[in-house]
Amino acid sequence: MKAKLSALILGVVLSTLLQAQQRIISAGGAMTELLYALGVGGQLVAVDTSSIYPESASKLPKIGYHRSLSLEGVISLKPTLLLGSAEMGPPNVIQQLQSLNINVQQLPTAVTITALEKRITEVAKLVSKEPQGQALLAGIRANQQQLAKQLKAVKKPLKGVFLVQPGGRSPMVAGTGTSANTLMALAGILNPAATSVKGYRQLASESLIAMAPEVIIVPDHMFKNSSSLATLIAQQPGLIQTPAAKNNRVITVDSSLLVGGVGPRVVEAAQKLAAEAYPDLHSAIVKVP
Amino acid sequence: MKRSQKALSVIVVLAVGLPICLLLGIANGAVSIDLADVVAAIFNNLGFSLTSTSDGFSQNQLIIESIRTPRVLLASLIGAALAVSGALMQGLFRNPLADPAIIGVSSGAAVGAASAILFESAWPAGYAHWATTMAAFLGGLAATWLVFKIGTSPYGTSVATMLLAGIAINAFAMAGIGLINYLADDNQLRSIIFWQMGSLGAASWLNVGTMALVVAAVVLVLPRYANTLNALLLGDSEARHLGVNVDKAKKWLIIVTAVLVGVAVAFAGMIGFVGLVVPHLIRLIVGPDHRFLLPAAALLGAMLMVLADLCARIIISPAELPIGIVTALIGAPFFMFLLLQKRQTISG
Repeated sequence: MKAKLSALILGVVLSTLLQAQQRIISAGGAMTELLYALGVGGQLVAVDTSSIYPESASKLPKIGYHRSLSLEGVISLKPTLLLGSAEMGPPNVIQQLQSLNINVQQLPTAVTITALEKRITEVAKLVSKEPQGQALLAGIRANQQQLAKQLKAVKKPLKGVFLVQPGGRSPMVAGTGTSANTLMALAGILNPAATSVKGYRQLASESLIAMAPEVIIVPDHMFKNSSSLATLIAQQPGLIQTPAAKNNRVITVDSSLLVGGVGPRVVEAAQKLAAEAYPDLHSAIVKVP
Repeated sequence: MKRSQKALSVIVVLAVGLPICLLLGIANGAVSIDLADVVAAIFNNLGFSLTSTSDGFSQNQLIIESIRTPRVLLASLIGAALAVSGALMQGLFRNPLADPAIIGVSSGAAVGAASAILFESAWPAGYAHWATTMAAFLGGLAATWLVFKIGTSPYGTSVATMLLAGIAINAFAMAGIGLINYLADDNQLRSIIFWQMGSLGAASWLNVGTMALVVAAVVLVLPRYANTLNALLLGDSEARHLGVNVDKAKKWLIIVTAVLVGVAVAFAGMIGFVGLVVPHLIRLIVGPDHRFLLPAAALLGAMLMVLADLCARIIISPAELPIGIVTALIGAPFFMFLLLQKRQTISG
């Protein structure tokens, strides 16, 4: 009995020691966020430039943008695992890293909840945190179901557009295949742009008027940089004709949410968005832990 | 005769400096490797067997062997290719502002690469990279061919018309890139932008071999054209009087430049400035005689590129700067300084 116990303790200690020796590099904001959510943030030795959440990730060494990794730069950090999206590259660098026996894993960027669930399962397995992965998944599913149930009370869903504004130019609208679209769908907001737009596109003012969005959603960094609805309208004149602008209905969402696909916080963000979009349901939704 | 002696001594200095730069490039990088290990690894590869006692030597040897050495060699070959192409274009167009971009090869390559990136999902997995390289090379050749065809009439090849055709093709190519940028998604867009900033990160022994073959072929052919270029500096008709087959020479010079720059751009993306500035620097030092100008430009181009790439690799390590940015950031102020210094001699 004693021997068994000490063997167990030894085993636990050894496996923690072994895990502590994992040196992980994460390329992609959503991936980094997921690794922190799985509790392996401490094993990260570097991240890419898109990893801005959580705060401690941004303090780690930066390996540059995930599509233009530096071969020797990555090697110099002695990683045991390089986790990134399918777009991570350049391809020859990835091949060389693999030939140097560094475990390189490329997972498709998740822009839907199904893909996110798959990603969580796979990443949890790669970093030996399956129980944490299961718990994370269960939490996301529970929140999602709860939100969907609460949203059934909505009789007439709102039409909304998600706008991002690159460098003060006229805004781009989010269509299908974007994490913003997923976020809106979760929050029970109809995205009229999804029928005609794939990815992010600049839109003619007239099409925007025709879509008649009742709510405008923007990433919060846009309004932090001394911008406002007024400047947004100035850059896209058609906006003023929309019900959203007339009723001054603009909702901001956390910018760090949407970098590199959807991450584990997407349902929580959707709850917040739904609570703001449907004030009547507000109290019901914000009760969510 | 004094001038040619000076030119020769400059070439000797450069020829000695280049291996030193190559060694500097191989010895430094994001992973710090003991100089003893560097030397041992190099000797091991040359067939001598030197073993180092330090830990992790095999990995260090691998880094030197399969990452740094090909990269440094590719940098030097591309630097030489771009500098020589610049010298050829400045000679052919009798204009110190000419650089390889003038015949459309760079922008044509950019269109090729950008469209390959846009359609990257169409290539079988793992081949997207090769598709980009090939498309860049073919795009560069196609644009140059167009410029040359427009510039050539039954009465001969007019460099003035070619210059204008080059401007038109460049503008057209920029519009094409704009359109591709518009159609590209976020990730593709960033890939295209990174491609345009240039990088030697894709260096492999295969690239080095290909580039070395191209450069070697040019090295064998060029000495014949040094005197032709000298004659062309006097003007087309004067060159004809000196017995130069002007149209044939122009054609060959364009082909050589298109291939040199086409391969360089295909492997490393757009690296500006070297082709424009290195021949200038050399001309300020050794004078306009192409017999000395061409080899000296090749050596200096190689040296500068190796040093620029070294900076690109270590300045923000573990990340890496695009080389095109480094060549312009370091080269432009230096060049301006030099112009200010030599202002009087040039105008006088």
